[in-house]
Amino acid sequence: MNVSIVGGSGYTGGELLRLLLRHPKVDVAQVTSDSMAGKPVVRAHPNLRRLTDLRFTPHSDLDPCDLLFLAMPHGRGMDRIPEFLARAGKVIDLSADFRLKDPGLYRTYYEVDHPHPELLAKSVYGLPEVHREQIRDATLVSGPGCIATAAILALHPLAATGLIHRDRVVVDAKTGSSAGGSDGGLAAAHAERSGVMRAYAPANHRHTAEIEQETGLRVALSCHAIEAVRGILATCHTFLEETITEKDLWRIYREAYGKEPFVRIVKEASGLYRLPEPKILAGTNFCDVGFVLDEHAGRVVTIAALDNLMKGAAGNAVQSMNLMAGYPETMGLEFVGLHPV
Amino acid sequence: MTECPECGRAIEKQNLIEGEIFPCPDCGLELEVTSLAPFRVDTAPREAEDWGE
Repeated sequence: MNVSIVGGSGYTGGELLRLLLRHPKVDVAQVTSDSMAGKPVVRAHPNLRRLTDLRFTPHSDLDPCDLLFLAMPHGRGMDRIPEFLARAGKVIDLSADFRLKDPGLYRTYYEVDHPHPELLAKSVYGLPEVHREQIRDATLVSGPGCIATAAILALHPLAATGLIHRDRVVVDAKTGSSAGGSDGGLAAAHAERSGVMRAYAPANHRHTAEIEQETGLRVALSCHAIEAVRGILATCHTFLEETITEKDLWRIYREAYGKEPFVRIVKEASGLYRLPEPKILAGTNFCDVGFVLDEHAGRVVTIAALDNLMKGAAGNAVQSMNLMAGYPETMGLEFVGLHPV
Repeated sequence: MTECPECGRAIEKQNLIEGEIFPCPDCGLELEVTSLAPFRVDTAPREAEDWGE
């Protein structure tokens, strides 16, 4: 299968390349970047030295291919999506441009009027654990946001039960610096970022809309920047409508994720890593999910950890590509991580 | 076949022997085989430490 990446000079583009260059069924035809046109892709992604001789091509030189990954910033591909769909039979867009079904939410959260609202119904929210069968048949898949992925995977099984108050859900997310992209501005400067514990979006984060869309819950999301390069930790607070036990929670999460290749239930009685931690997930496509019953407060705390560039972006996109192409879902995504790291 | 008293994970008898202590594969709780016929497991007793009190 010939694939190309539009906007491949950023961190997500680099992570896509790292996965696709080693994928046994994929040939990467082109990687586009106007700002780095003509330069070797390893200039932007030095970890890929000796793996490829590809050079960035300008967006205007994009050739037809079997599947196209869009790794551009939000809003850049909205206008051109019909052109991209015509150029490749299938498109996976990693931006937020086609995640939301309600076009009005683009005005609320992204301050734009969506130019192709008719395609929002056609696009599939690309989270295999929730939309696996739709992804298989999709032509336009929209990759979920990294924080949204963690929160949705933490909440989805519980949201489906009716055991919790649907309008009293708080998600507290911590995120590493790479989630802000390779052009993070002053906020990404070492002097500003080092040692940071910053509430950068205490309310109204854009991913709120995705989490609500996919869980059916009303969500209060707060996001914090922490001292890490990769990693998302989402701690989700839900409040119970009725009394349950931890064994009930085990049953609910086991039914949801017992057969999922990339979601692991992590809730152990001993050891250092008893609940999900993003540290040991760097470079992997896993999302670890755990939970704790707080009987005192009538609360269930669900916790999800992932690598924002992998399960939160490129890894999840390759998982979706595998489904769309009929390849084994885990192909090219077998890396199990490092410990210690 | 029985189940972990903590998380409900199904536990098979396999080659376990009475008194054997092993971790639950899902939640990691230390379990002790308290009976083979019928097959039963329970939470393993934690080591008691004498701190000289």
